[in-house]
Amino acid sequence: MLILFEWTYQYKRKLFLFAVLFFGVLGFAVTQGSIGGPLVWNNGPYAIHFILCLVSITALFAMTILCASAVLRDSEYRMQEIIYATGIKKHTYLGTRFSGLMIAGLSILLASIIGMIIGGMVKPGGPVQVLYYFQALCLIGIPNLLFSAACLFMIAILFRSVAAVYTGGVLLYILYFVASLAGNSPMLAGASPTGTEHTLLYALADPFGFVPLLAQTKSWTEVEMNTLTIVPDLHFMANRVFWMLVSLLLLTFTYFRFTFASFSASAKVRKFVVYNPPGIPYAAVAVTENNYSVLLASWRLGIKSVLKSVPFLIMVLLWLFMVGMEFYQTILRGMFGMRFIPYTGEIAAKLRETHVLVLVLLYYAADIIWRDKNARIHDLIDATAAPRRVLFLSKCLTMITIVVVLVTVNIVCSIIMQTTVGYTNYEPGVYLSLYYYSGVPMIIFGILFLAVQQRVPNKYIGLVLCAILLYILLEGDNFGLKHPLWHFVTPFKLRYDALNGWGHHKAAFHWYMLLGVCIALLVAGIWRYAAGALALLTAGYIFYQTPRSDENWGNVYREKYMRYSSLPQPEITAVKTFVELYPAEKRYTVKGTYQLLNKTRTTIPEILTGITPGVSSITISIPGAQLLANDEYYKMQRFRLQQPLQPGDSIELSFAIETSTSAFTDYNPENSVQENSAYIELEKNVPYIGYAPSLGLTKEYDIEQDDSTRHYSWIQYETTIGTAVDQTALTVGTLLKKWEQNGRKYFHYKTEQPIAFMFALASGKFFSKQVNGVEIYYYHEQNVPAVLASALQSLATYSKIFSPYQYKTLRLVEIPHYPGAGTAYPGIVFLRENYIFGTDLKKMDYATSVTAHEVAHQWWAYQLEPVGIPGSKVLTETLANYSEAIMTEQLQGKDWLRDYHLIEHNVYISSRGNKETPLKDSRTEGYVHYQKGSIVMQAMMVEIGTDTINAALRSLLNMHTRATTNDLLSAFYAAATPYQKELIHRWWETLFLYDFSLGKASMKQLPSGEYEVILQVKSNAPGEKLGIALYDAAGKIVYEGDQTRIIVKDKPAKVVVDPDVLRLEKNREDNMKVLELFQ
Amino acid sequence: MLEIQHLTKTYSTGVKAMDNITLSIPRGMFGLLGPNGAGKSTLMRTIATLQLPDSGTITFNGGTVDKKQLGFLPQEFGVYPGISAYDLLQHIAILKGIHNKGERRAQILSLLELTNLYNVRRKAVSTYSGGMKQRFGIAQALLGNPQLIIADEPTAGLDPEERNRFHNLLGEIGEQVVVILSTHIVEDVKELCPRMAILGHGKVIQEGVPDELIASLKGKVWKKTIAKIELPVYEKAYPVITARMVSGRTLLHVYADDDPGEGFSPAAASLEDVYFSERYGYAKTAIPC
Repeated sequence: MLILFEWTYQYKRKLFLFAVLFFGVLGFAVTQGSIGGPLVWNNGPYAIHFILCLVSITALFAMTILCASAVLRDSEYRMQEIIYATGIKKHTYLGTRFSGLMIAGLSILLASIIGMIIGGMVKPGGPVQVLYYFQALCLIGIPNLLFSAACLFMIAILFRSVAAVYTGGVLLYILYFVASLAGNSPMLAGASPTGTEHTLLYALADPFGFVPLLAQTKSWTEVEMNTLTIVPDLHFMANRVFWMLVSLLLLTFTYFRFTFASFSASAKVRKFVVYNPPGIPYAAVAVTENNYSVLLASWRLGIKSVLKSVPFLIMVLLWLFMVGMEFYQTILRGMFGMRFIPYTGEIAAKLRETHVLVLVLLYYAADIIWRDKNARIHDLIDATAAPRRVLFLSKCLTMITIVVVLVTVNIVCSIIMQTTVGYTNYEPGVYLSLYYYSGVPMIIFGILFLAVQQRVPNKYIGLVLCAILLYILLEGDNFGLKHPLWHFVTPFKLRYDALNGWGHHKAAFHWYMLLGVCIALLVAGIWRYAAGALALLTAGYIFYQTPRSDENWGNVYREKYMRYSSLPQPEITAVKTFVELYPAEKRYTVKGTYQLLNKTRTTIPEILTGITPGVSSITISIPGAQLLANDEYYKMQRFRLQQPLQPGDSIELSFAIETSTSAFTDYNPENSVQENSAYIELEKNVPYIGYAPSLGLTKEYDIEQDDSTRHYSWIQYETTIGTAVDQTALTVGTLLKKWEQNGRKYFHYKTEQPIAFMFALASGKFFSKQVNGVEIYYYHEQNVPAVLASALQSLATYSKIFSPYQYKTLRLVEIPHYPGAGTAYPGIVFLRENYIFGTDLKKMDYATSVTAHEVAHQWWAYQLEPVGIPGSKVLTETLANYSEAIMTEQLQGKDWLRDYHLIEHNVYISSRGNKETPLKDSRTEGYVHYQKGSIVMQAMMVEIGTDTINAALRSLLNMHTRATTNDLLSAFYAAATPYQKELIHRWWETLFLYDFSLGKASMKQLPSGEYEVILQVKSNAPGEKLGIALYDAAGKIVYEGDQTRIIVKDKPAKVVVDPDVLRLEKNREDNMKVLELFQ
Repeated sequence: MLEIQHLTKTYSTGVKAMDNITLSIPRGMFGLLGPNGAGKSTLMRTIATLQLPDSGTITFNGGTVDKKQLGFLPQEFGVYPGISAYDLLQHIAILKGIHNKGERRAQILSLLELTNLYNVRRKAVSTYSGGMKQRFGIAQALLGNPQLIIADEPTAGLDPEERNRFHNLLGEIGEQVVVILSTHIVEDVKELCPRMAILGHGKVIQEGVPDELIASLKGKVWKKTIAKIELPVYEKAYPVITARMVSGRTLLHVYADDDPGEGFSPAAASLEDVYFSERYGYAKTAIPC
């Protein structure tokens, strides 16, 4: 009967209904994502267990709130005397309260299960099996619920305070995360895959059973995940039983500690002191108008009620915690385990991106507007003479204050985090700028929400409308509202770099914020007409400044011009340019000439030219030629030559272009002029001849670049670059001269031998260093020595093992924001600011290997240029990775390289898809020519030998300037034994994936005192010898080789097959066994 | 002088809360008597400009009602949780326009004393008992310089001593300003109001000076003491105004132009008789004001 009452009590509460709804939606939402891989059914047993585990951890929050309200309601409503007076028995009282809590929690789980079932129907998986859900509920859901409930119930009963329950709930959650962080739990995205050894202790440590669940299913295939019922293994079962026992223990403890008397004893008895009133007689007081003082008073009251409330404190705590997690998980970590130096700007940019706080504003907008009504004090307030407008304004001020507090919390949190990792250059200016770059957009959101809430008849309608508004403003693209004006509050992702601060979009961002503030003023009713007019003007200006986007551009271009791809056209053989960079205006002009040579066997009567659509203006002239057609929109021009160009004849083409990289255009890191730095891949932004397949590409239409459409060969290049007087301009070639003229600085470069059609340039306020022909231009000092050392050593080594370096100098240039870690041009290498110069090399030195890789491209792109057919990327990237491996082994050691290869191995295994080709024919799949290439080359080094490989590569360089992977393979095959040929074939020309495992592994002590280990290795490549290593208990190698019967002196503890990661294998977990002495 | 002319208000539910109400309310206390649902609260909220009538006008001293002149105590209200009486009075006083710190403090302290809340002024109003909260409501209504005080059921929830105190307080202030007091307790009006109106179904049924209204019933109220079980019989036979228990027996007041005989004797009419006979519609003839 009492349980029924508890149930109806919960059931009738809005909070509870909300929680049920929320978890229903959550269950649904999670199934729409990908659990365990694209082929894993979201309603298979694995996914169900996984999701329910996540849900039950999340449910801890709901349980905290329900527990605080349900278990403590007697004391909160001062009913305890009545309840205790009824003579209710202790066990009945505690029993009903606890079961009420459990039933509420169970309802939440059931709601999410229903959501999961519906989600499983929407996103097709396997057939719906209710039994799986039931099993997950029993195995995961109920034990986890019991644990959460027991903890919270104990806190509630023993402390008798709502605040204690909230604190306890949050602490429990934080504790769990900290523990899993420390234990490297698989739950956290950034944590590396679980260690290879699963001890019972490790499995037991997780109260929610995530670790043993993942450990048990770790090696499962997708089919197994979809169909195998999860029968808990020993560790998993032990975990469940252990935590159930802990829960029961907590409950027993609670039961014995609880007494009714403890209540009244803790009730505060306050002495009542009677004061004598001052005896002032009542007299009417004149009232006057003073809106300012009304504003101040209402604002103060608003802030007080928000900032002093428990939910706000909890929210702030939770946020601090989440920012902290984010900090360690993603802000400090990059791919391949790189650790970023926590530069304030980098952190500020990341913090700015988080939109979670806007949801907090959504809630507080409702809270602020409806506070009077909820408190039912609205009649008293409305009957005062305070103008509505002023009261609304005070609410806006409250909102602004909340935003300021949130931004401050972000900053304080970041400073704490920076300090904990020993970074102390806080850059207060950058932090202060967050109040503008992060605060103002949030304030605009907040005031828009307030305005919506003010105009609707009830809070919930307001919440829904605000959520819709937010969705449109943030995600309007999804349904066609693509113009950036639709998301004027968050028009772009702002990036931060050391040279340009908030960078490319900064100027445009100010305009958008002006628009946002005007709209906010308009809806807040301040200077209504002026704000409205200014908003219109600003929006007009932004609209005018924003280039029109045309999704169909590529398609139409392809349809209109692809037919010209077979038109005979001359080739560009020499390029001269005169580039003027105007950093302050974010634009540049290029004037130049091409030498065009007819290399075909036919005469060429017409020349077709084009340019990327990004340029602002272009003029092209060919002496004596007649302009036949000028397509301004697709930027194509067709010329008829006065005299058709005969085979072997040349003609000169001159052009002048102007390109604006205005703050309103999309940021293109490869074509950007900013205040203090510029990086332009100029070869992509000057006119081209014929049809450019790369411009006609769209998502669904994906073709290879091939040689038939390219109308350039190796070129002579000469350029003069003009830039701001305090900047240095850098590009390919030799610097002939630099001078100052008209307050600008000019640099004249010229190549000494033909180069590939690649001539990027950079300009900036660089520091520089020169050592033995290697120049480095940078603005972050810290990693310069490592980069420089790597470049020098790489140049020396490659020159020795491959062929001499072809240029006089090698330039290394730091550039902000580049899609990859770096890029190589003839004689010049551009390296990305944060990956190379902003990482902590003591934790993970990625700069050395990237530099070695980019330097290697001077050979594997600029000495040997691949022919544009499948496999071309192998000749550049795989060979650069091979060269890089030689350098890293030399500079960083074998262990470092092995760890790195393990990451590459895992990246390959997890990236594989149906577009995979054999290595030799790799096209667009990076995991083939980078990751698979790395591992294959490492294996080649062991099986064929570095010297043989290098000899083959030398012969390739001798024979060709342009080559294919067939040429490479011929060189390899020429030097190989039959066994090696088989391996090369398997690795380069098939999709073969290894699968081997350790079967039996037995060890016994021989009479001599030595140990004999006999292994049974199962393999799908029976003819191949696999590497085997034995380790002693301390992890030291006691044997390395390829034998399966091994006799060693020191007692081994562990055996690993393929310890050096030389084979690509789906499951490396079964390659290891712990050895035990057989008696 | 508050002039109310032809106020009507029909809610979207079809309830006619005000049906052509016309009242002229002079300086002093004015009682609005009527059962629940008679339209008292709607009328008072309309006067306080918290809601708009469908038609009709309200003028106060020749102009519209200015919120600066208003003191309003709604029938029901809540407070912000956790804020003390003193702080909340401060806040409301500022909203009302009392910007001089010293004056504000003095008036708040005097009101706290008048409403007997001085000793609990630092406690959160949200923890007050019903009567204490009601007294707080009275205090806030008197903040500033109210010329028009509208009190909707101000004595609900007050014990006799508190009610007495409240009557004295209003009596003192009520001489200078217009005070409209709605109540369903006849005693309140009898003790305080020189003028009153009775409201029913959104209409003014009776308006006038309480004594005159009582006088109009002279000779028309008859009483008889009967046993309780006889009540249904009498209720069928006579227009019963009130039936009260007196020492275990029932004292009947009935309405009759002439002596109904049957042991009835003449009774001195009270305001209560006026109220209830109007309520039951026994007096068909309207009394001229």
